[in-house]
Amino acid sequence: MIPIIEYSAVIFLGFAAWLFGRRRPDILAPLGSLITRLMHNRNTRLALMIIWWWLGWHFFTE
Amino acid sequence: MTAFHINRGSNIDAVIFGLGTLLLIADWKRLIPWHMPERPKISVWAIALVIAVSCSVLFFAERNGWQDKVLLLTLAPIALVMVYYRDHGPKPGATIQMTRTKWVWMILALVMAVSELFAYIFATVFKDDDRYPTISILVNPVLESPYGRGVFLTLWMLIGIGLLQVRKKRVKE
Repeated sequence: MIPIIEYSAVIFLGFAAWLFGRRRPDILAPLGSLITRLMHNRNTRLALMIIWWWLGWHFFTE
Repeated sequence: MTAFHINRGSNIDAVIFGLGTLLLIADWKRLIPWHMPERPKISVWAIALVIAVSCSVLFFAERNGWQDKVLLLTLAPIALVMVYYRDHGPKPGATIQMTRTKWVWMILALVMAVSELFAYIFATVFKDDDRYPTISILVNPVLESPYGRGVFLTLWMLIGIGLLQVRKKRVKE
């Protein structure tokens, strides 16, 4: 039960941070800007795509 | 990550992370002479078509079937090639808001990872998946349904497209 509460809390807080970034960019930058900044570096792009692809592999084929 | 997957006996995951690490080192040391084109921009229709075809593969094929594996293995080089583009334009500035946002998302990601890790450890030690479910355990029943697989695949692909930011934006008239 405890892990479910933790996962739900992270999802809820993530949604709140995303929404807050859209409403008040003067306090918290929008998520899109953060992604643009992170993905500016090719090595980070590569690392994030490897993790993204692995998630697909893990959930759909294992 | 590779060592963790070897330790838990998941050889395929270990191979994926091992290859990923080698690729990152090769990229960092510039060992691979990549051609660097402009950043690709893909129309919404092309993205929708790829998602629809991929969804139908997962919908009609059995879960964990060879078709799913072929689909994922086909998408891997496409995603890899799309990472290699020349990035013009200014990098969004390291403002105080950006630093704050980075910390917020980093903490959230860390909490999620630690929760998942402890759930995995406790589930293994106490042999109790119901009390300490990992995310995979929670998501598995949904993925058993073809509809669930379709929804998850769409979400997963949209996240990938969002990360790469390759969607062609509509020009306002």
